[in-house]
Amino acid sequence: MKSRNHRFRITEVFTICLLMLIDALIAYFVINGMAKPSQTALYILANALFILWLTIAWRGKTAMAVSILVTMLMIIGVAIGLDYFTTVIMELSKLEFSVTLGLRVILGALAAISTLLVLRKLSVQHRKVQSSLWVLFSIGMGLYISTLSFSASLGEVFLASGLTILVFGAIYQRRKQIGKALILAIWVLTFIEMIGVRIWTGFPILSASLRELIASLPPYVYAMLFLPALYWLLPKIWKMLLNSKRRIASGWRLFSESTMGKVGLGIVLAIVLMGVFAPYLASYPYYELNLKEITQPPSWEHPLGTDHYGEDLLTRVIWGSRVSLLVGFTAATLSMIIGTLIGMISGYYGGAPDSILMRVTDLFLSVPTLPLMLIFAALFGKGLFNIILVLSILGWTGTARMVRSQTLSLKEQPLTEAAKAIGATDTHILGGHILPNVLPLILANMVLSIVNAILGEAWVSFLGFGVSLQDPPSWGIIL
Amino acid sequence: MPAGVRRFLVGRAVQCIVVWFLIITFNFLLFRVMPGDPRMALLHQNLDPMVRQQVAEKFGLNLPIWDQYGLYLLNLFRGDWGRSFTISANKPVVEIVFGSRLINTLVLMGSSLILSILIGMIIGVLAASRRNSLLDKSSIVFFMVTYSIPVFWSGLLILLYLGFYLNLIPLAGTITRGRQYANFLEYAGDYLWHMTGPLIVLTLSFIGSFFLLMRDTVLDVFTKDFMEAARAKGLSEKSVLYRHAMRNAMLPMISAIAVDLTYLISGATVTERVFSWVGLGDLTVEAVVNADYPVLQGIFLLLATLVVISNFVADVIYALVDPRIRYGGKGK
Repeated sequence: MKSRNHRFRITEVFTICLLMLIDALIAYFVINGMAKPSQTALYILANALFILWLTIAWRGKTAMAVSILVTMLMIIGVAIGLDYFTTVIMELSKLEFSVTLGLRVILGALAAISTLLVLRKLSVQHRKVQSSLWVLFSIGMGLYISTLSFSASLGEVFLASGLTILVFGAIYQRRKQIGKALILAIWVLTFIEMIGVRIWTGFPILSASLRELIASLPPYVYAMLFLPALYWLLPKIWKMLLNSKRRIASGWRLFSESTMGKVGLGIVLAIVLMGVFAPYLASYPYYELNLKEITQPPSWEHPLGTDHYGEDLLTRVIWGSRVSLLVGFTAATLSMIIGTLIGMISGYYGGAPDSILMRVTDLFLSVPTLPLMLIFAALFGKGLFNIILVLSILGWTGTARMVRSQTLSLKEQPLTEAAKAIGATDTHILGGHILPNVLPLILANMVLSIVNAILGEAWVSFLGFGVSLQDPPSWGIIL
Repeated sequence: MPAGVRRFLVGRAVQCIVVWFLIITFNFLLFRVMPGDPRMALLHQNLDPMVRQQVAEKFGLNLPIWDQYGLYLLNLFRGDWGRSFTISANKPVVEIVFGSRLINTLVLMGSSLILSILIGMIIGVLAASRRNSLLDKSSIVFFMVTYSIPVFWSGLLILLYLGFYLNLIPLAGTITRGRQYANFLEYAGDYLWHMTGPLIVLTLSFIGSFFLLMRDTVLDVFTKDFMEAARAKGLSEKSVLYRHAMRNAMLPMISAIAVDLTYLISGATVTERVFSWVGLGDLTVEAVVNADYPVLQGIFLLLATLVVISNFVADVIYALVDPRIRYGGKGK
């Protein structure tokens, strides 16, 4: 493959370096035993953003730049992973310190050499880079599987980077189908894990030890269930946004003329910022009990007063914005994704899939929401993750209906016929032609469903079945 | 009844029955697939294995899941919905669910629904007829605010101010406990007095959507040609407004009511909890606290059935009221 003579701009290089640094730092923190759910999520998010940004910056122009980056990322991951692995081995086998050190040095050197090789090959021949990436990836996955028994958090990290690589494969390789199939495979596997262990206690396929192993994983691992969809959709959405830059600009002009809109945006931004900087804004820790000062009226020390545990209410409101926004956005996004998929499939294919999916939609439409949420809370138990899950399971019906009708009308339009005439596959038509046309509707609907999700969480928390009391509070639980 | 309408209604009825069966199945699966394992609540961990075996056999828990499903369906239609784990010594679920609690909930929900529809419709029509007037603008702002306030918050406020500070409404319950009633009127008065608080809260939260919908559809109807025709006929403005505009704007309202019913149930659940109104919502929360799965199952089935039926009824009314609709017919 001939190089395409693309010159990097200095800003681009700088941005890449910055992003890589952030990624490496987060990976480091995650692996170094400080892994908290939020950090892992941050790591995954950073990776996703990373890939996303690359997709935008080099749209098809330089797959090379992308390869470099992903290679680096993998190498960081593999190197740290190897390091950790040897540490574990050392502890297990009670090897002497010098031997372990030697092992670690050797492994580190190996990692470095492979990095160099990969980088050199990169400039020589493109396809080989890809295959070596796959080798690296397999190592990573192998490590993931082998280290699972020692540490769950490491496995998560590798799952995340594995997914990153897979997406890389799906987007940039000629072998798109393989990449997609792999993503699907991981998705299905994780799903089976979830059903097999969390839900269906009598699941027969998994062996007992494996089941115990998986059950010991923290629940937020399952957030990754939804990552593939995120990976798949986000770059496309972003690309589309880029393509319609001018339309957005004119839309913004229209938007900025309305005072209500500006005020609303300001409020939302303020609340988001409040959530992001909660630790700095709040003057007390959210869990601080002060039994001397219970149910105080507002004062200078406690601008909103205190509750019956002596907790500062302003602090709790500030922290609450975090949880409430998190729940709102995650649940809304998930339900949008579910709804869009179901709506598009049933609208496009029609026939049996349509009627089956629409009956399921009817079922969820006619189910009373809050009682079902409470039932889920009783069965699943409390917790942030469960609430998000329940809200997204229940919230997708409206979107599915809307997307379906829109898809139905789009299907009849000449653009679909033209695409079919060229020989486009169904997936291509759905993703490339129908989705962009449905998207504005979906986004508009998403705003509504964020509101619904935040409120829904508040309802459940108000009744006492939401986020547990030890966690950061949500707005509902404060009430 | 025209053939098109009949075909449409039969189709909808079949659909509703299918959905209802799906709900029953969902209700069955939900409590068997979930991690909490309801069986554990009944069969205690430390129980003697022999006893456990016997109990499992007695309740058919050792059967394959298909047989369990069959049994479940059979018992469901025979009116045996299981027995409560906790409430008053294994009372049958049917008695608990279909008792006074159902009536209390229905009375509360029904009256607040009717009130909010009436008020919302009237003010909506008035606001639309005087577009951009002070009434229009202020009522929009007011109902937007009441619409977006969560029920539990307004409930708490009303309870605090009207109930606690001003002593206008009672703090909890459906009737005054231990009071003797001379006649039915007295009882009804006490009941209504207790219902004031929850009624205000629920109605306030639901007027908003009906008001906005009514206002928008009436404004839309105003642009239609037949309004001009009605005015040209020399009808008074009032008659134009109520006989023509409002009747035509009713149609979207009917479907909106059916759709809003699930929200109403949610709202009623929380409101009942706040005001300790002894209804199904209150019962749901209690059952969740006590992990009382049979009761939960019963409530869920009942509420879902209610929604399905009301959706169907809305369709029927829709088909009957709107003469333009020829569902299932080929074109006009």
